[in-house]
Amino acid sequence: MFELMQNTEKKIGEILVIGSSNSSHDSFLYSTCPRVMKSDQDIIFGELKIEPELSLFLYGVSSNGAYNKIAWDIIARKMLGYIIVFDWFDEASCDIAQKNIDFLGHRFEAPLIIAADIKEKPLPIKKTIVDPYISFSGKEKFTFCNSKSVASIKSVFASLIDVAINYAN
Amino acid sequence: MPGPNNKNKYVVLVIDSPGPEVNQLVKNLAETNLEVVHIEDGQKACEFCEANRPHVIITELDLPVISGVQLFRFLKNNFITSQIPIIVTTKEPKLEDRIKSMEMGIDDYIEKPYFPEEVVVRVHSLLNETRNTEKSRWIINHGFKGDLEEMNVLDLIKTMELSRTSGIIYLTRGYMEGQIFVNNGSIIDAFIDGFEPEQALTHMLTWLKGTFWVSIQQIERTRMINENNSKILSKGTRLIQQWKDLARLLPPLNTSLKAITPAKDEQISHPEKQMLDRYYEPKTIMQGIEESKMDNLHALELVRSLLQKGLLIKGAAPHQVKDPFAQIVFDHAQKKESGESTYNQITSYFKRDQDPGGLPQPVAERNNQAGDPHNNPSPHVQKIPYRVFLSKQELKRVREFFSKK
Repeated sequence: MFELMQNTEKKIGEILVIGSSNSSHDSFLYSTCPRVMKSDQDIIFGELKIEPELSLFLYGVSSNGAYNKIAWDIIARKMLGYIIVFDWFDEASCDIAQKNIDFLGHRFEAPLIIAADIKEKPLPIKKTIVDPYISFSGKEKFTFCNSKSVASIKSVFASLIDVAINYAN
Repeated sequence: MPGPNNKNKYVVLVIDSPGPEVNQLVKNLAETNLEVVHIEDGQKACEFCEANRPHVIITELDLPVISGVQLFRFLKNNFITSQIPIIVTTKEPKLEDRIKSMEMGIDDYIEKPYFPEEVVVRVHSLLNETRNTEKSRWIINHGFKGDLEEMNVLDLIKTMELSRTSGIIYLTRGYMEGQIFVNNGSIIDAFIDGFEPEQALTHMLTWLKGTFWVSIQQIERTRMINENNSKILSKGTRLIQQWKDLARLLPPLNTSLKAITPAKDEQISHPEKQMLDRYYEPKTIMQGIEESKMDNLHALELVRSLLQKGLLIKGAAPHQVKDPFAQIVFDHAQKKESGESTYNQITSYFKRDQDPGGLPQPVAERNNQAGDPHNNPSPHVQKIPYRVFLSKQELKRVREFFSKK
């Protein structure tokens, strides 16, 4: 899958989307990238062409099993940030998200968006509180999303880019 | 400090019949950057003081409508105005009026005719004193309210003791409300519905979450608590420490628990049964404790015992939506206008200071270590620093891309 990285003049940003096995992180790629490939290591990959010379590489990984197969050091050094998705209504998914945050937070300084997927259910708390997100810190935000809505998924990506902009030159 | 018309000036109230001496005084005071209000009768002066709370009052003893002494009595008995410094001016004062005024706590006494410049100096001297203890004086005069997480019950008691204040501390925690009565800085009584005074006080000493409102006022109540403040504070410190030590052994207090019906031959004490009954409808540890109306520490001990026996387990009941911390979030979203407490709840859930442990290590690190690839991450791992390889302009274009429909 890394064969796509052929044009070295192209500017590339990388984003990692991490979820538990039953979360909807796959939809973050499938609904935004025209083509998504799946590796034999349960990592999905998609390229999002912003402009001819500017692309985003999106990686989707489930933290169940595929965790230790990803080249964290390689990706993390260049990534714009990462998104942890979990099912708000599933306790096990929340616990996995918590572990992901603990684990990744110890390793990377990159921005993090914690996206609680409520699918199409009503927002559990007042919109004004999470509009567009709750900030934990300069680099960590919490928001709700609907993995069945392309607009909602794009909004999560946009939140991550907003944080990255603050650190760019 | 605020004034009626100009928020940046101290307000001086002059209560006296109009005349050249008073007019000159008003003029002199105004020239020293004070806002001066001149009222002729005592009744209107009382109304003004209650509504506006001037910083200093200069008053004639001999007033129309109500006398100066009646005015003092009103001001000193009213918690809004009781701490306002008062300068009395009068000609040929009667001794008994003079004594009464001093007994009622006037701050200064000037016989007429006076030099307005002298009065101005004395006013500023009183204002300087006020400025030095401005915050505590405001707090003492008006009462205050806040969150027990910022200022606990022991702190409140100490504050009132130091300032020898009288008043009522109203406390709310969850479903419970209580009051602590303080007279001249000393606790004399406490009230929670269904509790004896000393039990009620012990209960409230361990309320670390909730709200308080302190109302400064004279208290006329029989002393029901015989312990002195020092012993109460000591006890409170010990109880809080015991609570914290016990809470550390349990899951977070916002963890939802549900009860399991004990086996027929399983022996549990009556208090344990009472506590268990609270959790047949799943709720958080703290909610169950609050609803039980038992002594907090005792209730927490019972929860611990029941958890150890396996009669209380974590998790929502099947009929409930599996929403791990929605109740916390809902409660706070409803109670608080700002998102701060919700943010705190979500933050505390996700940003626990725990060692992640047990998770697979990144490939690069595993390759550097021998042995089990599922070893805990090395404590010496350096964080990979963040560097953005796209420019701001490029990121803005990406941002625009995501904003398009």
